[in-house]
Amino acid sequence: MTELRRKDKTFKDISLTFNPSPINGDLTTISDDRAINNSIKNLCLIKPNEVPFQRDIGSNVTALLFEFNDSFTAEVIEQEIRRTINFNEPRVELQEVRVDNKEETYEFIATIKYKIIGRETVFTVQQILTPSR
Amino acid sequence: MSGPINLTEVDFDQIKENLISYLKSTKQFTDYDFRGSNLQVILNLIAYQAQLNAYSTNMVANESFLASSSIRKNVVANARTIGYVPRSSRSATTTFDLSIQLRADNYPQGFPKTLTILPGRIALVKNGSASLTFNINQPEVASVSSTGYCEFLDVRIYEGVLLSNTFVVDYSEFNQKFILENINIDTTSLLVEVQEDPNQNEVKPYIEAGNFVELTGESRTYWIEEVDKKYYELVFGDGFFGRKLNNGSKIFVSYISSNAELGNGIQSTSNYTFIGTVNDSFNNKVSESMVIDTVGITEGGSSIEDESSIKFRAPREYAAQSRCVVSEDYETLVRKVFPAVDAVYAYGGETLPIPEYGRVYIAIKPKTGNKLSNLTKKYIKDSLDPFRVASLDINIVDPLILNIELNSMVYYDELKTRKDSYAIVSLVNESLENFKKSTTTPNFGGAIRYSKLIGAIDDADYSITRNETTMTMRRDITVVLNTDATYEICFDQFIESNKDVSTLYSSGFFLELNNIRDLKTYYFENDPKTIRYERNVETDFNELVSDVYCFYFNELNEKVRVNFISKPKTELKDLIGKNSSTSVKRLEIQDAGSGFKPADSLFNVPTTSNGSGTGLKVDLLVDSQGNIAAVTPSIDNLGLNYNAGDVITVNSPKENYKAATFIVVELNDGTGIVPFGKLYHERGELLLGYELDNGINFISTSNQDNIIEVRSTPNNNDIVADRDVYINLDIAKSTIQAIIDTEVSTS
Repeated sequence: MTELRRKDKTFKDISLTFNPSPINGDLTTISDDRAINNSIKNLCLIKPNEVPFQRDIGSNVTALLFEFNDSFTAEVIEQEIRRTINFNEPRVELQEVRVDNKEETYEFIATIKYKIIGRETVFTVQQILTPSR
Repeated sequence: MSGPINLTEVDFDQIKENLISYLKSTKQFTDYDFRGSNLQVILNLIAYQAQLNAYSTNMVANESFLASSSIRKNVVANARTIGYVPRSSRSATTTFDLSIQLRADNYPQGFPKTLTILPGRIALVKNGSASLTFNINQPEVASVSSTGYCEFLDVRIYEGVLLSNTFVVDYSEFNQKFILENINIDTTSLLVEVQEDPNQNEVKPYIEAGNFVELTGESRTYWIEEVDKKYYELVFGDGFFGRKLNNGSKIFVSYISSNAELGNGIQSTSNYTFIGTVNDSFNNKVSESMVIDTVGITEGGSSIEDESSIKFRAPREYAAQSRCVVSEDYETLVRKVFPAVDAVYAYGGETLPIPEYGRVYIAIKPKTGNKLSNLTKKYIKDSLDPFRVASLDINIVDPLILNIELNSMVYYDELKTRKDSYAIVSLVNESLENFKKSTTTPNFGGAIRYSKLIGAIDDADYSITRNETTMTMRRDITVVLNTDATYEICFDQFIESNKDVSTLYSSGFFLELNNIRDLKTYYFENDPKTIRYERNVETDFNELVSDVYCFYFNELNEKVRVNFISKPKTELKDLIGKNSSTSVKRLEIQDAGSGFKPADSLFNVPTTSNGSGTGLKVDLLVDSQGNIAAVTPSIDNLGLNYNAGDVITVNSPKENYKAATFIVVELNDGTGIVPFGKLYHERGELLLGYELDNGINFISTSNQDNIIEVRSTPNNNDIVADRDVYINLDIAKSTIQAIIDTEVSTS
């Protein structure tokens, strides 16, 4: 009897580093959780109105980084990241979003745990957010 | 297999869709349709760039043609290729009369022979909100009388500030341009003078180039062109067409910078203060002050031509080729010579009911007021002279302004809207304003179509279910106060001839009746009971006529008619008028006799007491036996001194008639009630006071500015403007009400 196996859909994106692949010299591709991690990072760092003719893409996270570095701002950033991902990234099911503020270095550390829809593995992506213009 | 990338769209989303379709077909990547993916970043970039390119290409193509260009610089440049110079600002202008009395003690040696007003500022004028300067552009000279009195008549003045520029021609400068950096220039006021030789002080006037074929290499001419930012550039000849300027020549330019429409509509000498400089013939400045005697209304000020007007007029002026041939040519050229017109309509005299060949009529509605002054009409007529076809006479007429008022009941379904009745009325008003502005309802030569009008009301809001609308025509008549006069008021539309209600009525006015001025407010309306057919002696057709009577309201608010009694006439010709049979009271054949021939006439030479003339003529209708069957009195070669009520006996049959005949004609003494006016329904003409002995003496009107509003109901649903009729949909004076439609099914 043949074993039933689920074939997972592969997500495949290009890398914006534009480095050639060391093996075949083609453009480097990234896939699955790496592609999605990259997408989440993009969504959080794009400011509204940045994408032409699509004002609703992006988040206010960049603007919030210039607020006071305290737990309240961290909470707001957390909410904003959650909203952004739920609204713009249909591939993931959010498990947890946590933002910690580090006053001494004036940065926020965002940790996002998610599942790719249809898969069981929980992926974690961590990003240090620093205000810079 | 991957297909081609379709990049024919100009819309960002569409371009991106096409790129995504392409990526789908390649199967290399999967993340192209997720918003945060890197591929999306790349796709956004490519789509944005493609869209920008498509937009630029589209704009370049659009801006290359007059009809589609939108940037002023390009519109002007496209118009220039067909020889059209956009009209500049125009100064308001008028004429005034000035006088001055010189004092003898200032001139012990005798008065100067002439006085001269120097060009430049001449008057400060208040327009209610600002103070404007008026100028003259050339010296005005007038002679001084032996008593030291001097009068300047019809001095033309222009609103604005007189400015000047000087340029020096410099060959070392590549592509030197002479640009007048002022957007308010009235180019018609330009005075260009050139000091051709830098070493000699002599300056020569240059004129704007006209007909190209008349130019030689020595013609002192310039061209004016609009360049960037609404500035104007002076261009001089190249030595073949127009004189070429030498290196070092100096160009002196003076012009008026105008305030456009701000200077229009000012009258009354009290608004004017003379500030000009007057020199006498000894070249001394005159110290006595100048008095402004009369001044006309200022008109003609207008802003620089806008882009839509350039796009409209340039091809038409090119089509007219600076010649007035067809009626559109006149319209185009009138706007060129006198820009401050709201609407203009030209028609040939041959289209009149009584054709006048060789005449062109131009009806002009100015931007301010309803009609042009006689001086302006003359100016326009003179300005059209170089363009007109020889032998064609131009007549400029005032437009017959026909206001259309609406009485509209608008029904709406309250379940379909959250707006209240006021909001619905305001939407209907807005929709009607748009209807008025639309090109389908031109003021001259257009028509107000009832079906379109009620359609516009229905379309004002989704919730409007229907409307019941009636149209009323209104003419505003300016009456002459305290003067006996008759009035002819034309609607040029068939006025309804309803036998139950009046279809023409007026606003209030005050009258002098029998030399008594009372405080009653009088009105007039047509009497529906008097509607009848009358023969028009000019056309020999019957036409619908009704009498118009005058009335006032008594304390019980009842209409009280005012009867006008015509006095007996002292001259037979007045009594009989055009229709002699109505003036004959009695006609009697005392002894008919016999032996007459058909179409015989009898004449009576009046007795000497009745004065000169051959008098009365009686046409005979003769039967086959030679007997008189009927007689028709008429007048032939009237004498004077007939008296009303005279009895004339025609008793002088010629010798070849068999028997003597006595026909007694007793003339009507003419007394009786006469109507206040007469309404000719079919041609829409109202004659007031024609039947009265002295006409009508209005002493005041209920409305301001001596205006009586005359309203009438049109017979037809559509109101068509013919010839000089200017249709104005008067929304401000219309009555529009909105109510909930109770007949709408709410299921």
